[in-house]
Amino acid sequence: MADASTLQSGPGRRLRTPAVLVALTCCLLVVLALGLGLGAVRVPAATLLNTLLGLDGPRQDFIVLGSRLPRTLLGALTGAALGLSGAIIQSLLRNPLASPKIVGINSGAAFAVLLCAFLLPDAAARLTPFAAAVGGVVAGSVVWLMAGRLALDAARLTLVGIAVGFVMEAGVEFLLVTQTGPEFSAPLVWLTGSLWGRGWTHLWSVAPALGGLMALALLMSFRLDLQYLGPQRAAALGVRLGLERGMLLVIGVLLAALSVGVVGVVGFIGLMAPHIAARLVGGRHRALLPTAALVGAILCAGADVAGRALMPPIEISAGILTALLGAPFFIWLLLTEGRRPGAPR
Amino acid sequence: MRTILSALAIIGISATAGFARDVTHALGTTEVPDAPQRVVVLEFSFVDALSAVGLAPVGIADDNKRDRIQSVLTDVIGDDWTSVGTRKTPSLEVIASLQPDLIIADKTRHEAIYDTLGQIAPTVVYDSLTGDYQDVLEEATRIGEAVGRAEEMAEFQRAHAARMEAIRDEVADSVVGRAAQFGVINANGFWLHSPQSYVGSLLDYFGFAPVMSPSGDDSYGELYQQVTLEQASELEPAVLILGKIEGEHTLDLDWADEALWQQIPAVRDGNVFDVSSNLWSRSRGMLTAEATARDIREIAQSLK
Repeated sequence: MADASTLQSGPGRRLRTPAVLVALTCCLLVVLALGLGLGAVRVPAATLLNTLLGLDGPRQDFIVLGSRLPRTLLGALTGAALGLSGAIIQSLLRNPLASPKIVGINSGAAFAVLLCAFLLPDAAARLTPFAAAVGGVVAGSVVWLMAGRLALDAARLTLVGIAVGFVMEAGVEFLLVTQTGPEFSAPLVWLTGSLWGRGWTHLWSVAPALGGLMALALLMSFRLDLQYLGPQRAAALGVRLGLERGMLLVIGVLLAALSVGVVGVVGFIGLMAPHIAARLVGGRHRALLPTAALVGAILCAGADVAGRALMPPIEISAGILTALLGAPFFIWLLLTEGRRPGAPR
Repeated sequence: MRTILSALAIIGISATAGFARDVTHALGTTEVPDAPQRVVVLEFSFVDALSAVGLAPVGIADDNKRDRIQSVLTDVIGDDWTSVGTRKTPSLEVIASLQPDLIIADKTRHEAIYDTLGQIAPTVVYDSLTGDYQDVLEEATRIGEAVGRAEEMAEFQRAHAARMEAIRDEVADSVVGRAAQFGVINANGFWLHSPQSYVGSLLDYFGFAPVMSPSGDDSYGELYQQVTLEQASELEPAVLILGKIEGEHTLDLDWADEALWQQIPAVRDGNVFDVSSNLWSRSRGMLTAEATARDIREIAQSLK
């Protein structure tokens, strides 16, 4: 377990936070530029500039402004939200292998989306984002309520989250096995986590809420340092642990559930981003949270661009690419985590 | 004419009276140009319907596998189309780059992007994934109207009906009342198509008797049932038609020595026939139905 001194400095070499943030921001800008420049159709640089700046000459209004721009921005926004959510949940559960998935959000969303497609096939296309967000929040709330009621510690909270996730996954399996109809074709694309077909309406439907929650999370970031000390030490320092823990958990769950609602289950970002961030800037949350958000944004927007440009006109879901990246990462994490005594995460 | 129409569509005044009509479809009403020339289609059955009126689509969601478009269709439309990706997630960028003046999409698969497709070009939506032979005929009528070729479509449908009836009369003696079952078989499983499925309705059209009991439910799960060897052996088809992909290993080869397989009447009597699963199970429409009908004529001739 980490003590206060490792939280301040962290083991090994840590880079200076401002430099890291600037570098990551530049990296994100490059990914955003690639997001506008790459895709199934080659858009020459001159056409791209004409379109973006509204100049005369050849333009590609729909492809650049109607499709690539909102898609790339949405990828960055939800990626940042997932990265932040992962960082918050890992700290609260004091479990470096935790992620939004661990508190049942992904499977809750998946179950709700399929249930919606099953019960209301005609309305499913419109209700899917809403259903996913509600399913994620419900699953997260069940975990939170049980944790509060049973006064669980972090380890047991994790187990409750996994159990709730399994129940939801059983529901998903049941629906998939009993109903293999075309009504699930669109929801299944959704569930693999894809930015295909997302536009400005999707972006505006979540941008205000995600923006607000992310700001709130960054404001509360130093409270996470206290949470991370564990219940006894935090209580000794006079922190109202339960209330703050609840608030932070709500923020973490909402960030992930809203993201999953609009882009589907783009997995592993909530797991990878905080770890990459911790290796870059250490465990202090004031540095960790914005770094995790930037890394998440780069991962998600980057996976989307890659999925569009790798083998056009086929679209590879961003969720498939993050899983390809994330699964080996997870294993590497398991192998190396134990060998780094004193590591904050 | 083509350039004028697409230019009009691009600058968004295709709604001008005289150049557009209202077409009602599964997701509402859309103003489409009088005689669309650059049509993008996102399901196979729409390719068939356009072939019937001799209109070659500029873009097809062909899953990026051009041979999924049957040769009876490419004989009519050529092979100049651009692939716009998979039917599940067609590339909006490629569709936009084709500057279509009409998009035909499937209700189940593409409802979520209906509004976005509408930003590219007038979009009409039909239910292509479910439905039987009769539904396919009705859908073709509506697509004929949507592309402004209703009369050509009606004419084709009359000729099509005549050709189908000719084959039906020809095979009647050997098939009427015989219990037939179609299923897709590959190395991973065996999927029976129920009497309510598209193929089921075609077999019914030719006078075959159903094997599976009718279920009344039209959901996809009921239309296609995966069965094990044990379950398959409980059915008693006199004729078994297996949809395969040529050259691929299939389960029935493993089952050939099994008593359960050998006791199926169709197997016992040598009435098992291999057909193309791409044609039989993936294609819907009039031209492909005629190709299926020709397969059925061949089957009828070799029935024991």
